Amino acid sequence: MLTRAAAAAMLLLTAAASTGFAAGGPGAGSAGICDGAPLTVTVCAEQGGSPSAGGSPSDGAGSAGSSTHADASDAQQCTYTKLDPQPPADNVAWGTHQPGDGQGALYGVNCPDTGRVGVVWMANGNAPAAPRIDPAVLAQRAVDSMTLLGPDIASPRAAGRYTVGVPMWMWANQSATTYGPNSASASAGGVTVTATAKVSKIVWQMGDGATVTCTGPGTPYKGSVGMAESPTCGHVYSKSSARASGGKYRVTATSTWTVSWEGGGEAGQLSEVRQSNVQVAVGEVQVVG
Amino acid sequence: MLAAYAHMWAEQTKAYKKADATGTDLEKYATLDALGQFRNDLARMRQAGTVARGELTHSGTKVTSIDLKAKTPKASLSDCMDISKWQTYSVKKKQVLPLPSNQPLRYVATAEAERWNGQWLVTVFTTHGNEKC
Repeated sequence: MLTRAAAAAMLLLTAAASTGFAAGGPGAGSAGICDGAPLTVTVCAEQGGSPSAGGSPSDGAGSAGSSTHADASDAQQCTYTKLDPQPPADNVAWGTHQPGDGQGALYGVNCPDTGRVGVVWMANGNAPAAPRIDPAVLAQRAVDSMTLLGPDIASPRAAGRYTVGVPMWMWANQSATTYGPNSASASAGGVTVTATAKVSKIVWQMGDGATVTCTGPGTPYKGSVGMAESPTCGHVYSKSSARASGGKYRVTATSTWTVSWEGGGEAGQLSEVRQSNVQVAVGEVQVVG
Repeated sequence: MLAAYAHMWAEQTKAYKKADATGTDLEKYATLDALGQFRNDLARMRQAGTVARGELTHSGTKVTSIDLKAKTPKASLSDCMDISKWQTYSVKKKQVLPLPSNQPLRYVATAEAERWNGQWLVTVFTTHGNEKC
């Protein structure tokens, strides 16, 4: 259950990531000069790389359970410290909670290896007493373990023939791997993070210079609507594809997978992008038959 | 608010010199992201066996925006940081670590602060190595 409080914490984590100072942790930056340099040494701070919730570059595509990951899970830890003083009641990190309600408190999160910082509400007794694995790192691992593909383009079809001036309807078939929801979990060090991925938008590059952004899978065309435009996701070509390379427009559909994760008392969001293509012929004259 | 920023740096300098915030009043003047970043910094310094030495100076600290009417009053400030007399010392190697060759020595830093229960606290601190001053 993703509460509003979790959602608020998620926003803050995202914001923190964007301003975060970079990691100087293992693998980041050249050893020696930047190893252990404070953030006042800006060159080191900047070359530290991605401070995003996605974790360090070394936490990329490998398979779960590899020795790299085992090492990473030991290293990529976060410390939770109760903020003193506590933020005022109007700070968004409180979410649905209230300061002084006796149920919990806001904790500062800092993760030296990834550079992540944030604030999270934790119920009394739930805050980790010792540094523990960064849930954001586990979230990325869960995402890496999922099969997330580009849109399964149902229309336009490569075999179809399309006509200038006639509304084209674009839509994608929905499955767990091509549209979601798709979910996976990753565990380490007593923390389990569950990530759920769902396509939040598909950007269609039509090949004629037009770009159409659709916030859903699109609407399947039904013959009964005749020449109507798609209510959700469509395009009208104004020129034939005769002069395009190969006589066809190359249509590229790019989906943005929005991943929400939750675990270890924290929540967050990250995104992944995937692409599919189809080549379509668009003619000047309506093809009869 | 400027006083809180100055105090923060005084406490932060103490912490950097031993790579440990224990025994400092850093938490009284910095919180949220700023505090988290400093803690990350200190943890990485401890891990690498380094401490800071020398002096970190600020000049021209000015308030760039302030909102005292908000429920939680907020302000932004900027200044010019000078690290020419600031060193990273490796306790392990017993030597001062050289700065990267392209490290600017004077550059802009910005901060955001909020007033919590009458006390200003720095919530965000950002260095701008590409903006010399």
